Amino acid sequence: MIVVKDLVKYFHGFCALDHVNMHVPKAAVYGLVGPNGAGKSTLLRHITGIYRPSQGQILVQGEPVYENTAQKARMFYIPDDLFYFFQADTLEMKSFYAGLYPAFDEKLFEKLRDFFPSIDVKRNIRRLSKGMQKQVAFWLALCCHPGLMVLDEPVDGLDPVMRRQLWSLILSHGQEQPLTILISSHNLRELEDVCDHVGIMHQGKLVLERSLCDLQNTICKVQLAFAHAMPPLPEELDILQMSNMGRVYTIIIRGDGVQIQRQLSALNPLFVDILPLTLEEIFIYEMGGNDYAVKEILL
Amino acid sequence: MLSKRSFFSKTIFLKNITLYWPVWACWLLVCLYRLPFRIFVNLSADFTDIAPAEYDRYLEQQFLETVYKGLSPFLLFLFAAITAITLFSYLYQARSAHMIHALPVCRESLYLTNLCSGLCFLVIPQLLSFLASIFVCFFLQMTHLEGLLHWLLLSLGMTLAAFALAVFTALVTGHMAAAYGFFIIFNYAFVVLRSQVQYIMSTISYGMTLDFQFGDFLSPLYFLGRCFGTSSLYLNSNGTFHNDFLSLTLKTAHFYVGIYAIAALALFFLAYLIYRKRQLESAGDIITVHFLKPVFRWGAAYTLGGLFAYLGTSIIHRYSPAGGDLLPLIPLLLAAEFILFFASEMVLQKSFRIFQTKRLAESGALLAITLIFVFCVHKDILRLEQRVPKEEEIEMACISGTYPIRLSPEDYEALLGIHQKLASSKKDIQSYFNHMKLDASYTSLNIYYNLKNGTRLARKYFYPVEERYLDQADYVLYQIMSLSHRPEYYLQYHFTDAYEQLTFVEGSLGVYINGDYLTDQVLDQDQCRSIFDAFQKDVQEGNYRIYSYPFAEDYKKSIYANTLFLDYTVPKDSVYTGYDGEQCRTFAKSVQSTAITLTTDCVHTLEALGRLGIITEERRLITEEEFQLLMDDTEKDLERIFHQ
Repeated sequence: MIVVKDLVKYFHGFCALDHVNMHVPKAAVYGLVGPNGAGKSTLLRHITGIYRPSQGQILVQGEPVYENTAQKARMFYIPDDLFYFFQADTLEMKSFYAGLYPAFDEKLFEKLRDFFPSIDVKRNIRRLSKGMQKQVAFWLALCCHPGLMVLDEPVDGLDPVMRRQLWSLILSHGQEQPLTILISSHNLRELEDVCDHVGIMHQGKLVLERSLCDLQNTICKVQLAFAHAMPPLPEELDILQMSNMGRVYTIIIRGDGVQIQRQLSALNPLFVDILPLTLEEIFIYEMGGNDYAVKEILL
Repeated sequence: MLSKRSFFSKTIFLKNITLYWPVWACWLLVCLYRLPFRIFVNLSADFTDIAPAEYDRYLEQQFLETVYKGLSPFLLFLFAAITAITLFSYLYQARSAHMIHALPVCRESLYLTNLCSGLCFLVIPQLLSFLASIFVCFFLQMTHLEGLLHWLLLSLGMTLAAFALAVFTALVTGHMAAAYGFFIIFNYAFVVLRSQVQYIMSTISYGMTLDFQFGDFLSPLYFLGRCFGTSSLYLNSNGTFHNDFLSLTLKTAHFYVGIYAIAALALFFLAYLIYRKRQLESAGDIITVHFLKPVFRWGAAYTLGGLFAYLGTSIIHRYSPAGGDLLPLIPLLLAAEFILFFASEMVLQKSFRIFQTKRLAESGALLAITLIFVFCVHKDILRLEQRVPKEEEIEMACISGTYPIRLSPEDYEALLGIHQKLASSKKDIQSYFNHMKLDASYTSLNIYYNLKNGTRLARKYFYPVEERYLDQADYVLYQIMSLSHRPEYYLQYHFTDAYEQLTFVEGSLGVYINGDYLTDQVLDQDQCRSIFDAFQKDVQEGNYRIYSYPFAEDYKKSIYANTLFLDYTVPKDSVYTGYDGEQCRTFAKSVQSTAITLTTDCVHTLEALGRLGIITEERRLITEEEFQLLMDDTEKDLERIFHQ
């Protein structure tokens, strides 16, 4: 769906994006994480055709996106800092988007009114709360039937109930028709429930890009205990971290979970369990070898 | 479905119309007020005092005056700027710029749609105003509507020019306040820069007046303001207008506006290229076009630096009118340029950390160029100060001291002698002015040559005037007075070169009742003719003269404080000399006016005034000396009243 090739962007001599390569499969929910200033928003603005790259290429469905109105008509961008016209209400903004997006669905707009009961469609949007403004943005975005939604810090300012409802609405919309979602966030816990692909940005570079499935299959968290002292572990295990509380050991091992469990069972432990890793933990261990503080990324 | 390359977006257009309606609504009100409303008010006035035979002509004159004065460009340029900057205002904030450019609309489409919107904002109110004016005219039974058509054409041309400049301005900056600032700068930049050069040169050089008035049209609002400013347009009897300051007629006005309209098209294209290349991250930047940043730094340093240096020095120093002053102007100029250079860099960078080696070197280059310029001018490297043309080089020569004269070729030799003398007296004259007292009197002489090679040479010399010089034949004051004192020069000055074909309109003379109160005596056509005949006799006999130094004690006894005004018409294309040495031509039957200060020697004129009963024992003229006494008495009376 999206291919970013060797993207470089300079702002007044400052390198904001440094040879970024990225691949977002069709119908994926791709989470882009990184600390503030990592270049996430800049990358998204290139993908939505707002910024012109200093170098490199951004292809959406095989076509360059910059000044490509046909591709832009099939994507919707919700920035962190929303903009609505001075004195415009929701109905006026709806008419505006309906005029620009050929797939805009007026019926869906009416249908979704029930989903956003707290929004007064005739009230100046700028007078609505930040959370409500976000809801209006999602409402309008869904009505445009985009094939690609680019969301920059999308649920900031929303209450937890509305966050959950919105995600379920967007994901259910994605089930009805192919929808690729690209989300940026500096909060991994936020993305864990919705993303199937993740990329990490740091200092203008995409330092890691994997599917969640791959990540979960490459690192295991094992808990095991022995009746006596722990025997020497097989040398072929790639142990990232080990800790113990009494006779119970917790080991983070890189590799396939089933095979690791089989190897450890051969040592006759009292028990051996493979525990689920959070996305946050996966990244902590994946990134642990890099020369920057992991905590800086995972806020 | 949207086409891949649509050049117009109906949605954006409708958004512009509905969102920014206050802009076009206000402009519509202005247009309706400027034309149909004012036509209605001016033509519905009570004209019962107008003779029936004159009524139609008077009404038409009123109509045309209203129409042409509706061409004043200031409000048009203001609304053009508001329109363009409002329509492109989304570029000045990152979030609005990102939102608009994430939409499925390409830049061409955005640009052209905004352009169409802006033109609709500005043009439709004018068209409506034009149509409303036609209805008003029909209602008032006015049928000669050519003036309205000229108004429409000129107005639309100026609209195009104003809007193109405003759009260009809106796109070279990323900041709304800066956009308005730049719009003013672009409209006046050239004349301001020109004045700076003139000021510096006249301060540090000798005799250089730099009379270049070329390039006014490069400052559009300044130029159009002078063309169509309400105080400078005069109507001709054939329904057209003229502007004596610029030799502007209806035809030349169409020509100038046409040139602006063509330039506007080029500017629209340039603005489009800038928009296409625009980096959206530049929202909030003062300048978005990279190569214009040094222009901004240098321009700000030069113009504002020059202005501050001028203001600073005028507070702490009294300049010699003869030039040659380097202190304190030059140190102040260099300091102001340096400060303004880095101040403008701070504005560009939005940071105080601007003292980089590269910028320091650039500012050094700026100061070096200023110093080289000052040195060259002060040392007269090009020997311009000493340049006196040869007689055979001169096609036309004018002097303008007490009054402007186009000299006859037989006077060229005398003029060149005076010029040579003034040019070679640089040291003496500068020395005189460097040591002169505060109450010292001095005057100036402007010399203009049109040379046969097509160039123009202009010089301005200041020289001291004291009573002791008045009778010294080798002194420049005496020589200039001798050169100026010729009957035909006086007659041409007051009545153009067609002084034998005058038709008088009316006149007036201020007289003092019992030598005390001033009152105006209105003169009819016959009286004007009689007075002129007598005046002409005085001039021919050498009784009349214009004094270069009217405050000399002897002169005060002979010069009257009263002024005789005569209004007349001359045939089309009669020539008179402007104070800047320009040879101006009159327009068809335009009314000219002249003011004559009589002297006690003008015996024929005084006799005619007496014979016509305009001056009597009670209503008489008073000399400057009497006037001074009268003023002194008045001051004393006032003092006494205050003390009581």
